[in-house]
Amino acid sequence: MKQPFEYLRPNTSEEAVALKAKHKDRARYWAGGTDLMLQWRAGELDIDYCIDLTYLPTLSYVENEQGSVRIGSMASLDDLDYAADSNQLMEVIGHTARLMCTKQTRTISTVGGNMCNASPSADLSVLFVALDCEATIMGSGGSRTVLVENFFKGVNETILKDDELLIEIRLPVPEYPKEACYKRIARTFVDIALISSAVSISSTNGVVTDARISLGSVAPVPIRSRTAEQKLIGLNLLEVDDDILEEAGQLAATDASPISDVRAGKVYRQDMCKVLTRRTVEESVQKLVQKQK
Amino acid sequence: MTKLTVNGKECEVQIKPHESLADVLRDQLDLFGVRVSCNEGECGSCTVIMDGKPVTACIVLGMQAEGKEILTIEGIGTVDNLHPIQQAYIEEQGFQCAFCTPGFIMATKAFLEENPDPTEEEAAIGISGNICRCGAYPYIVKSVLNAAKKLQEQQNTE
Repeated sequence: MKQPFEYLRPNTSEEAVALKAKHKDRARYWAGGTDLMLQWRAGELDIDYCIDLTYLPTLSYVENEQGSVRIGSMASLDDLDYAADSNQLMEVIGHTARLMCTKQTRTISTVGGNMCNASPSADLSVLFVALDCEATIMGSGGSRTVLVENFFKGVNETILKDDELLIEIRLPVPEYPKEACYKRIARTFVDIALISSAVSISSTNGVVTDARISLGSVAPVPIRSRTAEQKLIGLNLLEVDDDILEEAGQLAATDASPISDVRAGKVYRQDMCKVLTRRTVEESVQKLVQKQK
Repeated sequence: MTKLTVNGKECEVQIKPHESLADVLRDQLDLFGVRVSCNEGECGSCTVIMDGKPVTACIVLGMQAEGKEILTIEGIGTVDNLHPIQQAYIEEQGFQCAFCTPGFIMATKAFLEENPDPTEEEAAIGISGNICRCGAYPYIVKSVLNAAKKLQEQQNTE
């Protein structure tokens, strides 16, 4: 049933957190609302209060700093697109944002909303895990920072406590060479990912020093394929040939535990997990090799 | 009462917490050019421009538009004085049944402000947030390119 709710408009993050602490799970933070509006219409949203975050003046930034980019949780997907030229990693984030929904919903949808909705197929979440991003969370008792990798608990479930608000995503941008790539399979641009793979690879003097491989839509939360990562670490970039790529893809597919659902079958997902990871690793390595020249 | 600025005019409306901006514009301000089709933010029919950015008005809360500047199809041209984009859509026959056209025109307006001189492919991507069930896309892309030309000519003569 469609339940009526009351509209609340805090003017600061502190006020928002205080309101949420007061009403707990009878209230929901309302960012862009592109998910919540649909849930409400379907009669699936049972709340008494909507805490509208769109009037908070301070959370919709994308700021470049020494060694990192800080992305406010209320920055829109369109803001990410605009910030794409700040560095090679933001370029991948901007490109990913452009794959998501349509222009006129990217202007409304927010980074924080996408993450807190915690869909296993959320494009940004998968990429943020591969990029080693951190999330800053504010609660009535103070703030804490966690790796985005540890932010998700299950389908539509995060580690956020009743009163907590996601404030910021911090993207580390190291001085050593680091490249990333995100690919997904979907029927069209606007569609939701059937499966996705994100990779970031760091190198020093042509040797892979670190690798992060993150997979979406293969488990309730974005997962890392540590076996595929280990396969790559320590290799010279030029050693990453067809055989290594094939093996890394296979390891990722083995680490994945997809299900069959209305969008795709388990076997197909597993196969595509291999193909996509192969390609994301290859592209990241190619970018690193090109930078070396 | 909540204050909205719609098509340059300030107005006061009573908005229910769950009411969408599209419903407020249609039901209270009689702006029927805001077309609601999918009501899920997928089809782009209800596209309006809010503070310079295109938004699907069906999934924005009416309350979230307080204090913002809203522009609808009714605010960009009149029957006697069509906006160059409207003129371009007529010249290129960028529609068939025209239900989706206001949304396309508003999306075109926002797109051409970002990219005043698009290629054919860029124009096609530019209007990819709107769905035309009649499938008039080739003519719509032509309309966008024609509109770009008209707007540039207008700028040059100013």
